Amino acid sequence: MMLALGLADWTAGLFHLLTHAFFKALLFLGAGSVIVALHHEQDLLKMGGLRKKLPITAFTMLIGVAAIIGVPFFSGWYSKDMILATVYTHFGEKHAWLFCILAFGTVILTAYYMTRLWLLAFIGMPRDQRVHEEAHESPFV
Amino acid sequence: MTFPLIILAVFSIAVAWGTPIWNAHASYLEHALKRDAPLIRDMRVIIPLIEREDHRDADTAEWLGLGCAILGIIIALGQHLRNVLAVVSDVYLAQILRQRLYFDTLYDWLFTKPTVELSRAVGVFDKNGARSVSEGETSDPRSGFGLRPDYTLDGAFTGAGRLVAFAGKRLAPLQTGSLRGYIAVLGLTVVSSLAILWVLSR
Repeated sequence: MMLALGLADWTAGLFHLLTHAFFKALLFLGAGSVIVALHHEQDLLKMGGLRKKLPITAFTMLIGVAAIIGVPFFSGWYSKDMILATVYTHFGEKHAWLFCILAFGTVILTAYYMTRLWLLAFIGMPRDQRVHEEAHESPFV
Repeated sequence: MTFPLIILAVFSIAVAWGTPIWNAHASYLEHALKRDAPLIRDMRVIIPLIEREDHRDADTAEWLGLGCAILGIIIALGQHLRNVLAVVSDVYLAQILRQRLYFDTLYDWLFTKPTVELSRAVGVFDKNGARSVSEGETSDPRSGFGLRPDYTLDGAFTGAGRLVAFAGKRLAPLQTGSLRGYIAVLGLTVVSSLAILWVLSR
């Protein structure tokens, strides 16, 4: 967002702000749902295999992860693409390559840490049996 | 808490959709924002950007961004799979080594079990195997099939021997000088002879 605003693309910055509001809120709420489900256990390395215990949270968080990564047809893809296009048009300018590297590097990092987060929490074998056994899906409201 | 999650998930997917959906620059929200964008007075910044706008650049950036995202996902998946494989290999490698590379199991399947089965089949005709099962003498339930000894080859030979032994035992008194035996045979002979004469005289 700041990068887009810095490159005078007001629309791209605000567009990403709006889409980001939804999927980041979704991810925060999903994280809260996991923490409540695990009785305030927040150590990601004690989680794992929660997909069957928290199916709705897992699925909605997967949507949030896909959106923030910029998977095509998710909201993040449209806004992130606009910012990247703006950055890329400046590639030939002095020191602009640095912003390109920052932008595309951030895309790699975001895809990496969000995928890893989801895999650690919801996929694989439970790393702490006590935490896993006590886990339950959050209430409807 | 799941209801707000679902609502936010729906918006996270579709809030930026446009027509056609696969065109990243056809978003309704983007068009609305562009329409309502404030005027920027310093056109020295804006005009060069507008002139430089090129769809080829946008397409390149789109594919480049997608490639970067896929790269990040692959790295995360690779790390996750490596950890999973490490755990799995730890468990299974230890099991394999504990079982001595399953050499004994393989040997058992290839040689021991066929040999035992063959022995059991042959054991049907074996006196000791059959007897051990019928009399419950052995702790190994696999030895013999439980046929009675009389029905085996051994049983047939043993029966013939017993028959000869029985006949010999009965005939032995005739050769041992036992008076009681002689009198009994003589008496039976007289009674038999009289019975035959009585039958013939009728």
